[in-house]
Amino acid sequence: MPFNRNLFFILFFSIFLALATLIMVACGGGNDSSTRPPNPSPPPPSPTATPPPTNGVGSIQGMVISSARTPLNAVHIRAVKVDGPNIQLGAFSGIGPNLTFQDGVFRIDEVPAGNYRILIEKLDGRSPAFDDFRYSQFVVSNSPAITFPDEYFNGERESSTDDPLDFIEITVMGGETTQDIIFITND
Amino acid sequence: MNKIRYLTICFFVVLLIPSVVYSYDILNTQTPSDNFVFFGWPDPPIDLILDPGTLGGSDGRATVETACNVWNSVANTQQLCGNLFAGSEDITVDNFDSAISMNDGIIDVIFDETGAIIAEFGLSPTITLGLSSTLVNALTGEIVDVLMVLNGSLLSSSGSDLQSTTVHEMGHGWGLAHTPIGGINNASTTIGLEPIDPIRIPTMFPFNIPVNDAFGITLEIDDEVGISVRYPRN
Amino acid sequence: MKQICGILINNKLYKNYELYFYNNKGGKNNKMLFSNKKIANFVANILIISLGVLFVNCSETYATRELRETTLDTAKRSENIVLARCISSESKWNDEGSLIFTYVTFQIEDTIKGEDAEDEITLRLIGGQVGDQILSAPDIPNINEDEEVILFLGPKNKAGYPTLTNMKNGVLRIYTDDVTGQGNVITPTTGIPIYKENSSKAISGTQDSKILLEDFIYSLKEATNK
Repeated sequence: MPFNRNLFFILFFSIFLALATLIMVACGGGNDSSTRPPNPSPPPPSPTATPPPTNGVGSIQGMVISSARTPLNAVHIRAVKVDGPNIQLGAFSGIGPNLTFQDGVFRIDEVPAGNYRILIEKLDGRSPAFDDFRYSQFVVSNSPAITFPDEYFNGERESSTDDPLDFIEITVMGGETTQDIIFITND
Repeated sequence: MNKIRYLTICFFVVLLIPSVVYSYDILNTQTPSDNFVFFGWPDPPIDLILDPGTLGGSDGRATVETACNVWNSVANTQQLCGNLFAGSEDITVDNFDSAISMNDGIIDVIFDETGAIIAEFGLSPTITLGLSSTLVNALTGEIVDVLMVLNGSLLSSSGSDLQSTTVHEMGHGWGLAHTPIGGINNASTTIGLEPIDPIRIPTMFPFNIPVNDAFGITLEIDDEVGISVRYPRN
Repeated sequence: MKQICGILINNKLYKNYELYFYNNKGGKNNKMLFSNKKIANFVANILIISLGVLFVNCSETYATRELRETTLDTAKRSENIVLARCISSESKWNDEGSLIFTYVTFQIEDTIKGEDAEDEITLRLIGGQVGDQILSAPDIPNINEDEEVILFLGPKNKAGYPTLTNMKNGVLRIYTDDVTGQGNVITPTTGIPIYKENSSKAISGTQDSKILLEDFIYSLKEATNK
């Protein structure tokens, strides 16, 4: 059968439309899409057993420690809401509940209920916006001297040698605190 | 080839995904007993006294008024901005050190039309959009007074927005520090996890905002949570 | 029904990938389709083109221009660049009692750009602590006594003190490697090709990195003398 260019384009365009429709349906029309990290090799998302809660605000609390199990302060933590609209919240380790200073402890308040991925990032001068001197004295004077890569929280798989891109989703319920988010840096 | 193809997909996907972001930092200092205390005004609202000179060739009062409205509109937060008073003399590099008062609890706002006052502070007026300097009690973190300088020699240039800078510097005046959120964004080549859209970069991000600096005029949730945590209404 | 879509890498070498659609209907995570490599490749090709079309349509929204200054830009704007060691730092109120300034004096160890200046140089920076009062000035580097830094300096101000050309890039700290004892500079967005000292061979591009002090100074001289 000779190559028919028109047929090819019709076939191609049909597949394009079908695929676009499939994506829109699967992702909830784009308004409820799950964000993916930009890095090239994230593992598959953990399955969500129950629909995420949608009412109220809660808190996330945890700790950042080094491979030597030493609490680390001034590490920036971000919580990224899994479903739309995409929301991210942040905090610095060393600043705990009620703006109290506790080594390694972090707390993020006013977190809209839902499912989140959580990550840590070091203020180490890799980007002008991350230069620690641009922040408060607590951050400046505690910014970790050790080097570690940004990494996601991956629950029980957390270790000093885990895959930085491995993550689990945690659930925040309105009026409650999701605790025990313990990061171990890969320093 | 597959890797390139996958990266290309990720690139497009990331660019197409909007995100809303927040995080914050509050200015603080270490006391002689090695504790840290956060900065804050003890009894807002706070009055401001404005340089009667020009800002970027025009009256800066409207700009400051708008910034006040932005911060006073945050839900569940105390009213921070009080009355705006006009100063009696144009503040310039020749008289700034005698014309301002840092012990009256009224924020001094200087319209540095030439950038010369910024230079007097040891900084380059070529890149410094604005500056807030906060006088605090080192033992309690209580803010005593604030000096806010807006660089009128830069604010009319492209890529920087006078109003955004004013809202940002006023945030410092309340005690907010910078936020790292925005360091990884979709308009930057800096590689990192979970980049955000420039339009959602918080006002307290330390740089002019890429794509359109006017994005900084409105507060993001990050800024709002920071100020509401520091100054809860009740 | 909560659903998730995503493209997954099938192995660490990215040799193959598969396109999955998930839903968790019934509380279970169900993988739906396209695990066949050929089909997945074909669909992925179409997806790339589709996204490309969408991106073109949105490109005006995402047109960007970053105005941050690189270290090279800072260097070019600087009248003088010096390697210096802080020998004293004193904060005091001005004569009018309206502002606290910190006077930081440096001993110059090497001139990287500009004419050889005096042996010492003093900066006057807004902010500092006097007694129980702090005049806080976010963004202004706090330089400690005996700290070695590279200073990027602009013209003198009306009071006769040099200005910092840039707040971050204007004061580059020297970090001593605990193991080697060598000085390093950590500078983001350098914009400067980095060479091994006295070598014409570039050892890195212009990416963020920790750079050996000697190499950085050599490269800075090369870049600013062009």
